[in-house]
Amino acid sequence: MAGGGELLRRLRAELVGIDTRVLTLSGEMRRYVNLDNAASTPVLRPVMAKVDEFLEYYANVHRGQGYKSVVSSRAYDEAREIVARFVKADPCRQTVIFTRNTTESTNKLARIFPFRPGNVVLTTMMEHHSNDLPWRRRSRVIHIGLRDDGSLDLDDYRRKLAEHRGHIDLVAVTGASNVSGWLNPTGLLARLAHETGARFALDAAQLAAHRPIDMRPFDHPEHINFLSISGHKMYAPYGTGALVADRDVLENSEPDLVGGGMVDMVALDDAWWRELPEREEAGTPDIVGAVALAAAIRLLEAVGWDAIIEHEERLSRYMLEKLRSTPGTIIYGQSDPSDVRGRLGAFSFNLQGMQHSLVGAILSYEGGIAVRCGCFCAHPYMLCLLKVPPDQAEQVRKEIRAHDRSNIPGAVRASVGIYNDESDIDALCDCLKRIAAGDYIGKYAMHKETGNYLPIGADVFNVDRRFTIDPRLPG
Amino acid sequence: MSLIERLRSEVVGIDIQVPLLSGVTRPYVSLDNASSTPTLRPVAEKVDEFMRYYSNVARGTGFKSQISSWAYEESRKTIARHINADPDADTVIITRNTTDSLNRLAALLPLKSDDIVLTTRMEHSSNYLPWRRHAKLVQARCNPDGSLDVDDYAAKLKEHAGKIALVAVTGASNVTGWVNPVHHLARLAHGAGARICVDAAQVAPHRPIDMRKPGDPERLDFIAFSGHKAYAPYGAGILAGDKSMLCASEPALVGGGVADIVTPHSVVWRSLPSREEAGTPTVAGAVAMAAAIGILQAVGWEAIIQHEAELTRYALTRLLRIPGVRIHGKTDTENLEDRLGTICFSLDGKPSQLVAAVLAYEAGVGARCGQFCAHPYIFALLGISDADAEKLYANASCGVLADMPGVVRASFGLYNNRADVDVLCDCLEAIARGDHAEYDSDPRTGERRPRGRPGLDPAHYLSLAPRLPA
Repeated sequence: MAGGGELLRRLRAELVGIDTRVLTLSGEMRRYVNLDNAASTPVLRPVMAKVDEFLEYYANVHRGQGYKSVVSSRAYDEAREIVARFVKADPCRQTVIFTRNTTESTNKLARIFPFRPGNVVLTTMMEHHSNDLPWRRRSRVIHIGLRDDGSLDLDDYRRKLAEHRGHIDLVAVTGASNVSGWLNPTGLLARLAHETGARFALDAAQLAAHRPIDMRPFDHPEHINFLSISGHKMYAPYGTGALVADRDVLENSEPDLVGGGMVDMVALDDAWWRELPEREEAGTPDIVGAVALAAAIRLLEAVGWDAIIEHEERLSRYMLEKLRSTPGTIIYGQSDPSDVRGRLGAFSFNLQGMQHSLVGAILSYEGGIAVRCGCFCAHPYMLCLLKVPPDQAEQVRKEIRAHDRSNIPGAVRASVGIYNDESDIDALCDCLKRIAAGDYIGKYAMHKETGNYLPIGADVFNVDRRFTIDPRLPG
Repeated sequence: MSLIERLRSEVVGIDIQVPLLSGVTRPYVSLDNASSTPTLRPVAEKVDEFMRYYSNVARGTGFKSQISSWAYEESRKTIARHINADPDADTVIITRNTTDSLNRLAALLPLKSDDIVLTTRMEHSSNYLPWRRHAKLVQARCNPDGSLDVDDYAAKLKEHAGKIALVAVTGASNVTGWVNPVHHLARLAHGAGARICVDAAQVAPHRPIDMRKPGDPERLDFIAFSGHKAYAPYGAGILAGDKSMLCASEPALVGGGVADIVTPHSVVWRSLPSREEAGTPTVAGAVAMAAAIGILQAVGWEAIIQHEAELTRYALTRLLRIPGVRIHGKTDTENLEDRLGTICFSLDGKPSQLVAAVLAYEAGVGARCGQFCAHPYIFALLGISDADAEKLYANASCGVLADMPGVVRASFGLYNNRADVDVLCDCLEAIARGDHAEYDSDPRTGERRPRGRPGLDPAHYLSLAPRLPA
């Protein structure tokens, strides 16, 4: 069997759509380069093949006795076990609830969690909105501050823990920033949270495909009480994520959603909920999504963390070296190529004097390179990183309310996945160098309402001719 | 061969062989379509093709993000057209399934605890548990044959007129297959000043849905259904309806993609449908739903309805000849317009769990037994007295479900044929004769397992381990 590094190298050829070519503005067909993995990852062929194989056996779960229902139910249960082992959940005290995605996981937890009046949730200024907004409607939320480089300010964390000691219901922190890639010291954060009597929730959407997760046993000082992940950021974009949670909290609350499959029995005015995890999975689950997530996890495990981390750190060093040698590039967050251990391979930057969305458009239409631009659903964090003065931020908000996003602050983000290699980074940085030098051919106009730039007079992508949703009809 | 006949060989997994107790293998016979449908090869192919272009949606400028966003919105439009949603007034929100859709609607409507939601005694629990949390539930009765008592419905509308915030009714029963006259019910509801939500999970793959224009007295204000019951089991469903009603002060879920502006203390929400689709949506699920709709439309409703009626007529005729078989609900073999090909029955002296187990282990038939998340309806169909029901509820509250009365359900999809019905009925005849193996009953759940036999052979069981690239 191939070693982890060798297996990882082979995965590039297994990426579905790796060979896509794109017509660019110059008329040239270019290789599509995907550096948008922090938003969502493509699927790997072995995962898709497993989904297609599973669909031969697909039937509904929920105690059907037919052969396919038994096979489907087992596959679904096994997928749950694979997720639990992957994050080292406590098998007795925790449960895995399949959700649609991380956002649903955090919303579900926020709706179920028994927040006490007057208490607070501690989160950070570096969170994605999905790990901030759900708490705000259930509790008072306090945001832990940042250091100048965009990393979490641990002193401020300690200070706020002390200040609210005994009144903190939950500490909710991301495992890694989706903007700067900064990794958080989750074990330490969990330990400090528990010392004040708070439970600890980890948003692992960014982390799960990149670093090992260890939720640790229930009574361990660094136990992670709640964890959220998304399949679509782990090479399984089939609509499933998970919430891994302490059972006691879920058991002592009313279920989040009610309906089929989560009740043992329903009377006209009463209902008896099923045991976990079913009581939190109302309706027919996305069994396909769970199978895809499990298959992707098995692939990551087969490659192994040593190889995954080695590969990502190598690309991170390479990316930072090349970005730093591109004139006019401003990198937000960690930017030292010799010290990449505290970061993931997600890089946010701007080119001096150019709107981020214009850079993104040129990369796409002239380089065939996919990045993402804007605020990455982390507005408070972006404003900190960009050091936008409050009056300017308020002015932009006024404009957005008037449907004008022309001046929206933001950055360009390139993020690597397990299948990227140095040639992808070369393609990005070569194109950035040309952009920085003004060496691009398109004329771009901004669409005020979205803030996106589009090339004037040339729809080279012709998306509706590349793919149609009409199915083949059996002939 | 017509398109509908050609579809049988396009069902993914149609030829999967099932190991039977007798030692032989037989192709699996899927008669559990009311629960969930397999996918069709053109749908699976479309998803696989789409995966070559998959990327996150939401304003990415990359080539694949643009294709994905386009495909997602095209899928939404296809679904909207399929149910004749109004392009201006209505929105289509992609959810996980019907249960998610109905919970969502219950959370978004401005229901007060003394508001009344009028529903029926024939609902799946997904179409009354969510309402019960937010409002006072009133349920229209059913006739002894399980059909909706429309007079009682009209009387309850009248009785509670002015206090009814919503009527929530299923398009068709998931147990008996009775199809409700939803446009007539809508007219009555609107006459009483109420809006109507149709749980279309069962009806969507079998009958056309027409929301009709806003202002039409027979308009269906809200529609919910699931892809997984319509040949697209990829984890997506929908909630469609009037934008102005679904635009609550806050979205049901909050997070990525739902907000235009977020400061540490304030939020400006996006417009529909984005504001109700927090987080990364299942683009593949939406594409699958649209592809499956494309197949349904190509086949055409006339062919689908005629095929289902013929099959149902054949099945009813055969079932009625089997000694001891009691069909619950409609047994008429002539007029089949107001029913789906969902048939539920009992076999005298044979618990439903036993019948389902014999069908599975000795004939390779996937049927379903139990109460189908519609306990009160089943109890009414079986004529169980309130006093007996109380005892059953008491047992259930202690976790004892083994004695729960239930029925067996066979439900057809567009790919089933007479041979499938024959396999079902031949096996039922054998069971009626007592010609079947011995089974043990799980003391808690009542589930049957063949006595003295190992469980499902792991050799036949799908492994989740992916192929490792060589």
